[in-house]
Amino acid sequence: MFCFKVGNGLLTIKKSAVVVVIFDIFTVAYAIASWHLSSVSLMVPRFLFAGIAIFSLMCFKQDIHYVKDAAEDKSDGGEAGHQGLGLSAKLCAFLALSLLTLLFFDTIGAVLSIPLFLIITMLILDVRNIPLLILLPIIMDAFVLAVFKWWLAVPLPAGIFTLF
Amino acid sequence: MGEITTYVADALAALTSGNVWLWIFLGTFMGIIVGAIPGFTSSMATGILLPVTFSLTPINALVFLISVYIATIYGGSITAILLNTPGAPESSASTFDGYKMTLRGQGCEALGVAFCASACGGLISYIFMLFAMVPIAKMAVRIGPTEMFLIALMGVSILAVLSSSANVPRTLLSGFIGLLIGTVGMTPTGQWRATFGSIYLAEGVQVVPAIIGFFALSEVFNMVGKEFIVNREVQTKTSVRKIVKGFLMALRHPKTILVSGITGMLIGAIPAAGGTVAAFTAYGMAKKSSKDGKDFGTGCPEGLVAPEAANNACTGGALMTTLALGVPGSSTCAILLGALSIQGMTPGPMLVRDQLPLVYVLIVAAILSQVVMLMMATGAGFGLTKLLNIPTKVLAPCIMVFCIAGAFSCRNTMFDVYLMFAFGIVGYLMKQFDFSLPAIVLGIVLGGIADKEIIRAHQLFRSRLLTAFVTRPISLVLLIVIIFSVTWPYISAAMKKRKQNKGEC
Repeated sequence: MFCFKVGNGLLTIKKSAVVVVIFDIFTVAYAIASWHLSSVSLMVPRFLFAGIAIFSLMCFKQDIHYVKDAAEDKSDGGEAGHQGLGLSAKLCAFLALSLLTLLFFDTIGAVLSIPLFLIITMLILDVRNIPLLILLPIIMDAFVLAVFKWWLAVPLPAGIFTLF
Repeated sequence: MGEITTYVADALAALTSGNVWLWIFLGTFMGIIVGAIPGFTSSMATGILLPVTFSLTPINALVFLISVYIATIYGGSITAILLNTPGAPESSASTFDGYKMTLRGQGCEALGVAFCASACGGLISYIFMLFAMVPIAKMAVRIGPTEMFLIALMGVSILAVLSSSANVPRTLLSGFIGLLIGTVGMTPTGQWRATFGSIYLAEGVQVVPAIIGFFALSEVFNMVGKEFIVNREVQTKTSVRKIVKGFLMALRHPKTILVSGITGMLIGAIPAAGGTVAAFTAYGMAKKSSKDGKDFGTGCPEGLVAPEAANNACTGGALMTTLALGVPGSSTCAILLGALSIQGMTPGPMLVRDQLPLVYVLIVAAILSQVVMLMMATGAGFGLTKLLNIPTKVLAPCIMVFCIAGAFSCRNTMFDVYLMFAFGIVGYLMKQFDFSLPAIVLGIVLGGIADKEIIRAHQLFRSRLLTAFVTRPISLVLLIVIIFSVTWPYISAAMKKRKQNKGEC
């Protein structure tokens, strides 16, 4: 829960409002990107904009509270503070590494980035079994290549191997 | 009747001539394994395996995915009964009596009861489907663009019925955002809409990355930090003879199987109601009507028969609305809708009208797969518990790799992978705060349909468009259902409050 002191009271915003804000940012971006279109093309989007505005307000009404007595709300805020966004240090590291892998997937290529990702992620997640750290990435790499590249003919990025 | 017989005969011929059986076996095998792993839902299984179907024929692709869908329910029951840990949400009610039977040393018998009841429930719903499809197809020709638009809206709005009144805005907001995402791309009038300059968005947001992101990847993020998915201390031993004994125990309750099967099928036909609701409803009904009702919850086989027959029958009901109306009966069916689109077919009334032979092949394949599942599930009872010992710190990165490869294979571009990653993060946050993932995915699937149909309706009715919604009988009924589904949670909450106040007075 986010807490802001406003005058004598306390404005509390539940963290679930983050999702509503993300949705609203997308909606506004959509509206700006498509404002010049014909009315026929915007028939459904306009109807959806109205619905999203109404439901967003309803969600905000549930998530935002103003409490006049700030001392009373402190206990509430403390309790709800434990909920967080569910982002632990391990998850943040996992997300960062996943993003990094995706960014370099095309450049490095699937053959190298899959085992690299697996080894580093397992290390971050406290896997200390050396044979597992070596064998699993090799097996997974071979399996993914066999299924996707050869069987399903998906041209997974070759990356640096295109040089050879 | 003659028409149905011809379709069934053609379907059987199609099934014997091709390599459909291979896909039934493969789908069943994978579905049972994935379904038995808690945290892996049928939607996640079908989402991950969807790219496998890209290079298959429409029949093989759909039969494979339907087999996975049905088999996950079987797989989910194994861990629910043996470990008190439902592999899939649909198997939750099976823990009440199934796990109690395991604690009494009847784990194998409980598995047998569950497998047999599931197969019977599935057969009831698919046989009903055989007879219901032709009348539905005849009705389908009366469905025009206004009805199709409302059906698309209904798919999202009806999710609200099952929410508590506090969750309705979140569910509808998720659904509307999904619909909005579904309208991104080239409009039916040829204009580029909200593509943000990206050529990849001209074709719209692809269903595959959305499904993998929202269902599979969000679950992977959820796994990180957990040591194991299941408590490792729980162990059990299995035997085929005891499982077969369980089959006979289930067949001693034909009335419960029939009633629960029909209940499950009807609930499954309601979009988003799903197997979980069906299983709990059937359990409650059986408890009230059975003479052994007081023993339910203590390890009574009938208490296991009811939810198992219902949750499997539910798949038939859900598939019926998916194929006939294009409204997914469950989140997994939303993925099946995506699979239909990928195979170049238009889901909904048009599919039943134009491709009825294919629909019958799918139904007959689903019936046959019940038999395959009964055999394979019996065999799976032995080895599956070992999979549960894989720590999530090994499992999560492996699934992530499959997600990346799966999203990439959609159009062979990294754009879809980035999109999947973004959807995964948003899906994870949505999960944390009780926003509806099925609603947003249904929205993405149905957004394009709603957009196309409303433009068709506008061309057809022009200034009379709004009146067409209330003057056409089917449209009017659908409109009433939508209004009812959005307002019902508030009405029921108000009624409950009033009842409580009266009680206090």
